[in-house]
Amino acid sequence: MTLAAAAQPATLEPRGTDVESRADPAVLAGVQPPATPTSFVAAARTLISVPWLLALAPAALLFFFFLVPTLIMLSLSVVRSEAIGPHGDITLANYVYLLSSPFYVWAVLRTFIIGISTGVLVVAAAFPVAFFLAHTRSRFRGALIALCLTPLLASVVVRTYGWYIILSNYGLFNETLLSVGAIDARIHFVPSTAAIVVGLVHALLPYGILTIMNSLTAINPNVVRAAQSLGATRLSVFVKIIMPLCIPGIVGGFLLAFTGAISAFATAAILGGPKQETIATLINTFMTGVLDWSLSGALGGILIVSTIAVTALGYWFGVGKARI
Amino acid sequence: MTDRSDGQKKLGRRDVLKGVAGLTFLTTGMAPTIVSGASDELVVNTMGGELEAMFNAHIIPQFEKKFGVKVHNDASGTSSEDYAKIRASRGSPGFDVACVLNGDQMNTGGNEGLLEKITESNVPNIAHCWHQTQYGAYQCYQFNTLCYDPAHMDAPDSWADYWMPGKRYGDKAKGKLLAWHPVNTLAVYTLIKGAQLAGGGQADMAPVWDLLEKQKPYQGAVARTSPEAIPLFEDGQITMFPYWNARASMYIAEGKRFKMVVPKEGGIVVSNGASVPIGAKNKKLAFEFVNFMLDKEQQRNFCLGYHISPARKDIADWPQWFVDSQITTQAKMSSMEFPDSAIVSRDRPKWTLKWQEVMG
Repeated sequence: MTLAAAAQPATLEPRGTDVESRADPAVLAGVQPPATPTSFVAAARTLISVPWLLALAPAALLFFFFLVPTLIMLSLSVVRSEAIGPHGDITLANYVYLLSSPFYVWAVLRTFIIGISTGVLVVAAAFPVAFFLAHTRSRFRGALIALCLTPLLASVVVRTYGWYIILSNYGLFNETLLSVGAIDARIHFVPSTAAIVVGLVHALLPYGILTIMNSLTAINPNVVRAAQSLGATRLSVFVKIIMPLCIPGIVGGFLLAFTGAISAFATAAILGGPKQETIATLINTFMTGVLDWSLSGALGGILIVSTIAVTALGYWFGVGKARI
Repeated sequence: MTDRSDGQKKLGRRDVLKGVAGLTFLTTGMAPTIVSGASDELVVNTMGGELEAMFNAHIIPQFEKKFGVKVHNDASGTSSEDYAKIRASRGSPGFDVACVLNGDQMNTGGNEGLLEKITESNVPNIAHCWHQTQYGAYQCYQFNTLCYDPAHMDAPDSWADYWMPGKRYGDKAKGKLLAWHPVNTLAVYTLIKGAQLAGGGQADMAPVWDLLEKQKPYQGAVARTSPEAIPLFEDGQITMFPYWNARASMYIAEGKRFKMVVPKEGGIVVSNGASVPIGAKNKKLAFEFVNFMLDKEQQRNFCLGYHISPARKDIADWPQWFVDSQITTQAKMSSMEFPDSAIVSRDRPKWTLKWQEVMG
């Protein structure tokens, strides 16, 4: 196939109901003349031609059901919580309390260690799978992609208890190691931070695979062919062409796993313990056990601000690389 | 429908609009019917597992039959989570009766103005109960005991065997005890027993934190709920844990291999019962349900099934095994230790924060 032939698909427009909006008379020639536009179609056209109108409904939804509750939560974090309602002067006492206690500082740091470890491991595990799925010509490709998504079919609680059964003192992992003589005494895998990371990597891997695969399939194969025709080895094509071009996908996969991991509750609650408290499990304790919503609001504030910071950093890094 | 040249009909835009208009009219017209139907329905909140099964076996079907209404059993959440829902919704949590609150939560709910007052006029059966409280009706009582695995350790006889296990059992108890998270009331009452051992009590919990710190090497796991704890015991990870006498004796009767002892210092009684949130949609029926829970027949069947002590004091024909293990007489009730709900509901948040710091 020549380069010109390879570029051909770009000119092949699908023929369908939107054909009347095309200006090309040759394309229009083969279809029935469109009916007189009705008011309904005209309204739809107007809507499509003004993109911000399309964004209005989801924006309103996000405003009322995400932004407003978040602002209420943040406002709770700067007042004292007594009985049912927060009241009194604005204070940073809740933040000072949390950030001056080594226990809570460690919980915040642990949450980010879990998030970063999960993000890195998800990307590392997802990349080879995504690379294979993006390049395979197997007729089972669709089935393989569906297989990668199977962790999403089960409830996170069920999946996590599956890991609990595997990793517990009398679980499959310990029994196997003992039976082959690899260990003399049972290892306490749970509760531990490592167990939380294992559970989260399993839960979030499909997001990493899909994001990276999407990025890999978007790479123009002609660029790779051009490099190879100029004498580039497979390794240098991978390092100098493929990797830089799929950095947005890698960063996206990392960010999806990172944000999912630092806000995860069920996995941290089941596979962790009091020595492995995270921001999410502490928020739950503050809400249900301590009944102090101001402290939960403050922890939520810390979680949101840090997540936005990391996401912004990742966006800048990913987009910056994409421009290169 | 629009006629096509081939004689068939196709769905046109006007047909769709007519359909939408018809559907809108139908749903609008049906709305009053749905709302009126809601008055014959009641949503009660219980708890999952055996407790849910007890409500489904001994209370809900009988209530539905007697009053000709439909009862939905929402078994989600622990009592702490249920109260958090009531609080978050300012008294309109979506259920009409909270069936498994404890006395401390009823007290807090009353102080926060989130629970309806319970009186003899709206729940007449409370007149026959051991105790009454303003913002709920007690249904049953249980107290904290110690459970242990007889295959792995001798029977404990004091709370000291749990709080200072090294003295009695040495290193073999290391990593074998279960500690409860204070989101579970069991943890709070066990901490109080620890404080009492070390010379403190509800008003002075300072001594227990030192005990907790020293107990850490002996803890093999921490649990928030029974479904987390029981598998740990069954697979041998832990061999001793504090537990409510009711569910423990039910499990023993089912053949689970652990045994239960009441330590010589006794246990602390938790009073469980029902409250009606101020925003309940069907208050009349909600009070009827609370009252029905305290009917003689329901009390008897529920308590025998769940191995739990009754709130009513006028039931005399209990089987001997039940009399031996439960609180059925005035003399036994008088000998039991009850927590000071005012202190517990006020200080529990502080104790939870302190527990987290010690354990973290």
